[in-house]
Amino acid sequence: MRYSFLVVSSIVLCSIAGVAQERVTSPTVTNSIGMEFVLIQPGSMQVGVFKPECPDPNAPPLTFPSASVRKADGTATRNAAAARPAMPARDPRAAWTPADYAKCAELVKQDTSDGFEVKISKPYFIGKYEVTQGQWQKVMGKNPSVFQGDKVTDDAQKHPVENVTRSAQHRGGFAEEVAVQLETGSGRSE
Amino acid sequence: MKIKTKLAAPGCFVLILLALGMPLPAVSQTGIPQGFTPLFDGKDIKGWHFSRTNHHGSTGIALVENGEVGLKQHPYGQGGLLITDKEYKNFELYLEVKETWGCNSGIFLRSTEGGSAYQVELDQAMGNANLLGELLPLSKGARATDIAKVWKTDDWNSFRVRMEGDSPHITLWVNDVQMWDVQEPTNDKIAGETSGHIGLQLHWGSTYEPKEAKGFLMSFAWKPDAEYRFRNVAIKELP
Repeated sequence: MRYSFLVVSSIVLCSIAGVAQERVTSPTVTNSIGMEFVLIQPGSMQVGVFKPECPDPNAPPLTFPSASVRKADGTATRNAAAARPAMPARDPRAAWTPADYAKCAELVKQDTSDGFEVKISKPYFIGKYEVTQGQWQKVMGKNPSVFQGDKVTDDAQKHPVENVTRSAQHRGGFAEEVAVQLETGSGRSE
Repeated sequence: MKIKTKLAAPGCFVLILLALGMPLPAVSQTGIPQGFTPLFDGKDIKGWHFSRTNHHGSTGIALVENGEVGLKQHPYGQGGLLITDKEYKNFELYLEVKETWGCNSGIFLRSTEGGSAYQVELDQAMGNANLLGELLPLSKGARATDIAKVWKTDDWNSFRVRMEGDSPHITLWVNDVQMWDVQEPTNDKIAGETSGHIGLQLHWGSTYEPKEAKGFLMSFAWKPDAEYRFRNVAIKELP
């Protein structure tokens, strides 16, 4: 599985579960390849809150926004009126019936959730910035990113890494390598 | 007796063709054209996964029954994008779909994990079988202006799409009749990617921010508890 635009801190999740408490003293750390981490203290949060609503029966019929169209000069526009004919009206058979609204109300009632509380009992470090291509390459030995070489106009090593696989992010991959570094204190410069 | 007639007729037809020395039709009994490799095993969605980064959601359901794959929202309003694990560049894709009124889906071609793709629209109420760009400004779209001549409402319909070239040449047949043939003047994919996933779209109808859903009127993009069904999804990779 590839995540073409995955550049987020989820791949630098570097939990320090198991790290000796006495070691967690600095609010930030920087490892040997220049990754900065901030310390997150234990706490709790509410997740999974979901309160959907049924559509308004008096709302106008569905009209999809016009698709983006690329113009001859390479720029894109959503003003598709000049680029393609207007979409035809939607077939009335697609309209919601009273039974559809009733089903919607039933599902909304069934699926509405106040979520649940998650407690994080141990402190952990999380990456402050996106992982760069240079940092990924130092740990994994290769750079899978699309945006490098002639695809960028400056130093690709400082661009966020992308096009990485899920397996490369987690167990046995980048995150584990970096987490081990932090846990053992190797390559750490606080 | 009616069942016997149905079963016997194709067999008689084959025997007559063999007796006359004529070639058999290039369509197997399952509907998948010869030379194509099935993309579903009929038991589960092995080889496919729901995108974790698509804006339609990541919690939709794929129900596999009787060799068919049904896509349903779960929870209410949360859809998704079911995509192949593997990426394809040049190929012919074949599938059969049973569309449901009031639901919008699509066949994604050369899709990214997040769902930026060339898209064959699936919505028998509006724009069915048109070529669009999903999260992708397209140089040249296409409209299936003759689809009403071949479309079987509330029934199974076959789609075959061929896609070749860095700046793709795309052709679509619906129920074996060509709908359009497009040579894109350029490759519109981000960073010039020339391959991607095959995807089946399960449109969202509500978000975690209900006001936004109402603002775009997308609540009507998928009827509550409705389902799209696909079968005989298969691919033939081209050089």
